[in-house]
Amino acid sequence: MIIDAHVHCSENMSETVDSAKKNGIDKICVSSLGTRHWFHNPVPREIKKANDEVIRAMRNFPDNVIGFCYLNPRHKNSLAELERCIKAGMRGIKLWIACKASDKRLYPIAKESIKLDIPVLQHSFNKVAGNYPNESGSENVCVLAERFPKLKIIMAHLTGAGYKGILKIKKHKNIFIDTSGGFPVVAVTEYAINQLGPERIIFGSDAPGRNFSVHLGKIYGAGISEKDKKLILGENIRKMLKI
Amino acid sequence: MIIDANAFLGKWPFEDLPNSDPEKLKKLMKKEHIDKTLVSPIEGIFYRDCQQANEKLFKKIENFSNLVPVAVINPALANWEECIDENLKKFKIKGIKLHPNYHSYSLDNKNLKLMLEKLEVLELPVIFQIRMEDRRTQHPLIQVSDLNVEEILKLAKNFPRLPIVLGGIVYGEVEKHRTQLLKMKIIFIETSFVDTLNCIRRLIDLIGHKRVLFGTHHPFFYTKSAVFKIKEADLSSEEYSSILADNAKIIFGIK
Repeated sequence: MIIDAHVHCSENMSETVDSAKKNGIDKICVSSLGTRHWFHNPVPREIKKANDEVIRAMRNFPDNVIGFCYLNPRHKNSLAELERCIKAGMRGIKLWIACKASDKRLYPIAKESIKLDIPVLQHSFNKVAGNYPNESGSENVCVLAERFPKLKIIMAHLTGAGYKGILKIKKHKNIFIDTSGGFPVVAVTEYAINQLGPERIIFGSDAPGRNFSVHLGKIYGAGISEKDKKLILGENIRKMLKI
Repeated sequence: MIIDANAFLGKWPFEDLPNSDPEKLKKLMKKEHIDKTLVSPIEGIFYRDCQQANEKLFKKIENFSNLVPVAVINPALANWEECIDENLKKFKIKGIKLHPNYHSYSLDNKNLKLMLEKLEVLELPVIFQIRMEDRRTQHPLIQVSDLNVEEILKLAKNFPRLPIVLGGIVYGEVEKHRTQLLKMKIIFIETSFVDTLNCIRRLIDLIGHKRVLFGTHHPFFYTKSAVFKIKEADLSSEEYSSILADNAKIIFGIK
């Protein structure tokens, strides 16, 4: 089974689902940051609208779409929104750039995530020219992981983490990393496996902004064992989501 | 037949790239059923005189009939003209690759215009390499801007018979400049950095299959990614032939 752990809602979800299926991807973990505009610091109404889009996608494509609930940790109603989304069948949490992962306002969400035993897909990117004001880099994700060692964190964007990010998260066994982010740069997949082990690497594409096949190529084109490919392409996230 | 229209060989200063010598590339090409690859030297980007890098690579690939030499030329250096002549005569190059961003000259450089005039007369195509990597993840000491596509198109208007390939272009740039690109019939798009949902099909819808060239950006990117996105596109036999070989054959004069 191939599962893509990092996909976003679009206005044409059937095109996204069809493209995933065509590329042999069985299930996609979908979150929405908004389909027309991605607000860095969305208000509660925008968060609800985004999650409603995911719920619609889950209903329209029940065999393919696994919903992840988008939250803004600045909102006091975050846990209520999470409860609503979990009741609708969502299986994970998506955090983007409203707050850094090290921000204390994430703590209630982290605690609830541990209680529900669901992962947090946390955006992270180590940008050489500097991140957005509240955008996490791998060091922020490490702070969260250390504070909550039982929290299962999927740190987004392997290519955005780079070698520096991979080394940074190495000691935090509760940080997994998804393979999305940037172009299909060689050798990063192999480096991540060597440093973190294949059990901590999870396939993600960041489609539809990115292309499923290009990002599958990062796994199929890597000089790694068939066993490792299987873990990365589906087994690791399947185990985490209890599918 | 499959032709990779935009690849590199050599050493990149910041990491040990796998498959970056001719023998390993040959093996990879066989595995991915690629028959010919147009290669330029990575060192041509960084050496003070890029001709040293050209010569080093072209001597190495002399006995590799499936590797087609493309020379990196820096028009800001006084030897640009003799480099073109020498590479044509000695190494039978099929094209020129330009890195204005790494070589620190602007697109209104006087020598660049003189060089493009010469290339137009010689009917020698030019690849403008818009980017080598994602700007966000560059080495902290080498932060190089992407080339401005609009400026390239403006420059290209002065050379209407010169085939120009936009290497390393992203889908959004093609979409943004579509109207202009449709008017300029000998500007071509190379596919290696194109990465969005159903990107090859969308690219064809935007500018037509006669303007698209298969490229891998080897050894920086996984060749598998370039191959997979072509497979995904369900190309007609005409589209497939054009993108995978015929367009490159016509532009670069490859048999």
